[in-house]
Amino acid sequence: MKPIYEYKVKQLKEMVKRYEDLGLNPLSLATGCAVKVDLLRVVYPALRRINKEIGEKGLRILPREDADIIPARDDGVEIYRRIYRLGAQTDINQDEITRLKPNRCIVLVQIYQRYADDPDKFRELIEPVYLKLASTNLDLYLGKGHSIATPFENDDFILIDFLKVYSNKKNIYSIVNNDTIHIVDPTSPPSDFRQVAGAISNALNDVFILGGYRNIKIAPVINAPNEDLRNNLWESVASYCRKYGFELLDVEQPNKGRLLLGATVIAYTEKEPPVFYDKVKPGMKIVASRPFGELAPINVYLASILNKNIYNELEKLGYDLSTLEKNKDMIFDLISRPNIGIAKVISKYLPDVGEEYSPEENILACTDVTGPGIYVLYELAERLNARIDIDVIPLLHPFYSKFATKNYLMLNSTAGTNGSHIMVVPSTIVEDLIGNLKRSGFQPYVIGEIKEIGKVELRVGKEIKNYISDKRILNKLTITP
Amino acid sequence: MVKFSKKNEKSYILDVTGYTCPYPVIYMKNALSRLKKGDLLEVIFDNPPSCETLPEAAKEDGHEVISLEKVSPGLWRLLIKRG
Repeated sequence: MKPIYEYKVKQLKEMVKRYEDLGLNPLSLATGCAVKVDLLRVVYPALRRINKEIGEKGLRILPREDADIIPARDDGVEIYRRIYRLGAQTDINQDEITRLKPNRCIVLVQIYQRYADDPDKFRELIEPVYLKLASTNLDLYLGKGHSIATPFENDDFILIDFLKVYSNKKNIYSIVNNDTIHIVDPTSPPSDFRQVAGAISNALNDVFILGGYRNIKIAPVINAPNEDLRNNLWESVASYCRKYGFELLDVEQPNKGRLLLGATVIAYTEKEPPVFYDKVKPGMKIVASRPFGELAPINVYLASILNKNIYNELEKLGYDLSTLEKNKDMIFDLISRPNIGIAKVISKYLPDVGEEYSPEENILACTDVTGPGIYVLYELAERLNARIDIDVIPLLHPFYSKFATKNYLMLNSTAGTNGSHIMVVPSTIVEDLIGNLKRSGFQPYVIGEIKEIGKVELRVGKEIKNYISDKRILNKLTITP
Repeated sequence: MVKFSKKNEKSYILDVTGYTCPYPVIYMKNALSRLKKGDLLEVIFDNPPSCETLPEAAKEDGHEVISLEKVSPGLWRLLIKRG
């Protein structure tokens, strides 16, 4: 065994000890966006079963968008955060909610991972909360929700950011999103600025792709098992907000469970968000702002340190640990930076609020490549009711992605955190958009095209099997020779 | 924490409950490398994606997957014969 390997194993052991001293086991925390409850198998079926009943009472779950789009200025939106128990024992206070009179809410659900595979169990946990919420008889919209799994029993909760929209000016939109993760890089300390910066930048990414970047406000979701670390993480959030000029909102925190990093984020835009799905036309191009697959180098690095056979195999293929570590660190830096530039570029190609969509000048739709990886393009095809053909799968590190898949370290190594941005654009603006993206520091690719309308399909070359082994995802794709 | 123990002659148990990807696969590979050909390894886990990754990774490395069963809600047992 080479000395560098032994040194890195020693370093990781020391890091594990640092985490353990804080009451954490870093090797039980999922990296990046890998911790979501399965939307297809669990969340959607559970919601379908309760949707009708709660809808009749006035709580409406809005169709899935990357973030909630509210026709109101951000200074006309107030956040009231409340955290409740899940299930029949929920402590939701209906009288208080009735007094607050919110008209929208953003939800974060954290559930024990043994329940995260069962739609019925998931429904049992969320139904009592949603029914009580619905029985307030407020006209309430659930604009965005996300659900994550925790390996710790008794760490489950539901965090609801109630939004009270005061003004209803139709000339401005507020874009609101919530996202959280457990850790970005478990081989770095939890107090590393980049852990928090990555988590919040990841929450902002969904706001940026809808063109929101003005007057950014951050309502953090920060938790840790002890007060010192909580204070440390909070200081990282404050420092992040100062660094990028974002407003920090002091809101209630879970104070329950282990590490949790993220935020509800708000920004406004004076442009129509790119959700012009019914204007889609064959021939429109699919542009990615940069390659994706951020999580592969982090997972391969971890696996190499924890299993010397994996490291030996990597070395046999000509890859050394120093290069892998350097690549992993570059990815960590990349994840930690907010992609505000993408929102500015996208905004150049959007109509002003109230203006019509121009099929020659405007971006039609956007999404970002996060936990589901390239599967987000299938979800995009669903929203557009269209067939999308993908010609290129640009990956940050194709070798590591392939290695992670071959060794079953990841079911989907196209997955990312704070990842690449996907834009559906008319061919008339592709060249100009690519130029603008390059000037803003991105590395854009035209990765595919809209081929047909009225049929949901994602066609992708067989090389995708090098990067995805998840059968549920592969079965949704049309794999071409 | 991960628990690896001998159940009886030629039979071992690896408990990776509480661990998410990629750790169950890594620890299973570690455990299998310590066994002799023909030894049995029982892997207990509660990470749903591991239902796919653990059997596939074991087969890829030349081991025999004998069974995969759900022992209680959200908890699985995989039995592997070391190849």
